[in-house]
Amino acid sequence: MDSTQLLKGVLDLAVLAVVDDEDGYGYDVVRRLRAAGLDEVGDASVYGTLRRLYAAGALTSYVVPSESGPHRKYYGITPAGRDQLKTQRDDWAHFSTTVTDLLQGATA
Amino acid sequence: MSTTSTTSPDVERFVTDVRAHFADLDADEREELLGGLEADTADLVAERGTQALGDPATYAAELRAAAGLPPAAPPPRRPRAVGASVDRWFDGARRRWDAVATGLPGDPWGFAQALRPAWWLLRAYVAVQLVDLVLGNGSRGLGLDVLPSLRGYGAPVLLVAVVVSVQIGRGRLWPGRGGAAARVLLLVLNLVAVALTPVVATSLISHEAAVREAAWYAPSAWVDPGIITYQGRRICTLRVVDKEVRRVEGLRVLDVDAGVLLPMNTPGC
Repeated sequence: MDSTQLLKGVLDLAVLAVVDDEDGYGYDVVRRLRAAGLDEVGDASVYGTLRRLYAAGALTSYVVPSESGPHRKYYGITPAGRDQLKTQRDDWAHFSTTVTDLLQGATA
Repeated sequence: MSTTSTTSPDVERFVTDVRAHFADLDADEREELLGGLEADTADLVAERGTQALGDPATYAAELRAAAGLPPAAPPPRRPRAVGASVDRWFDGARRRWDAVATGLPGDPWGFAQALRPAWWLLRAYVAVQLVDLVLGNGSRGLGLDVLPSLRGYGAPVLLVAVVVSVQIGRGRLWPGRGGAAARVLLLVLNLVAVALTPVVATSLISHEAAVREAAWYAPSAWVDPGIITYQGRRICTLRVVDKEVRRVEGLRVLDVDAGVLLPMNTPGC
């Protein structure tokens, strides 16, 4: 099964969880998602998700200038983002349990 | 974690190409969406090389979709389809070259790249000498000097050419960055410079030889006409000897036309 399709549905949740853990800039978030095992996550998808969550008020952003190159844009989570993360985490737990039970029932 | 990052021309070109797909947004929206992209892309390249940069159009489409934007309207510059395929061809060629060149023992490509500034200087020099060949000294049948003469403007023109060439090399001046036409132009100019370097070198060498010959035959053209010089040194006494080192008497020294008896032992010596 193509896991990129599954990933699309939970990318918001995954990005929120990573940023909740610690503020990060775009590529840093990509790196942490990959380190966590989401190898197939696309850079542009993550950047777009960060921007969309920011526009929705779930994330805040600030610019950190660099002496040797272009500035980095960091993202942190807002209280609204934390609420969203909690709701989505519960949804995911419920959903994944349901699907897991269904699959186990199917093989039994 | 923050690795320091400087942007390479590849990163700049990629970000510029991606940015072109967000032309429908106003400046603030675009900055909100693309701010930091350069640093992120520089990090990506630093970690995984330029081959990790995909197709800017696909990348932009993915970014738009994830950001919840509608797909971009077709870019207004549609006639550039040829340009895009030329660009792709260049990018592909570059990637293939990088794949071949990286990992060779001793990193010869890295060595060659380190020499790029020397090439920027050389091509500026060749370009100015070529102009001199066509419009300056060459057009008057004089051959080339080591410092281009250009009727007296050689030094300032050379200085300007060096600055322009280096800035193009650094991607700070058109056509060092930008569209496919610029890349083709740059390639052609570089090839012309490579092809014509031997022409300039040959002309320089033959001219130098001619000058040295002239210094022997006709020194009076540019030094005190009363003095004979040889390789820049004054000759006051010309002693001519035969095979047994016996002095040859009654010798007369004539100029190249055999018309004038050249002075010897002049009071100035």
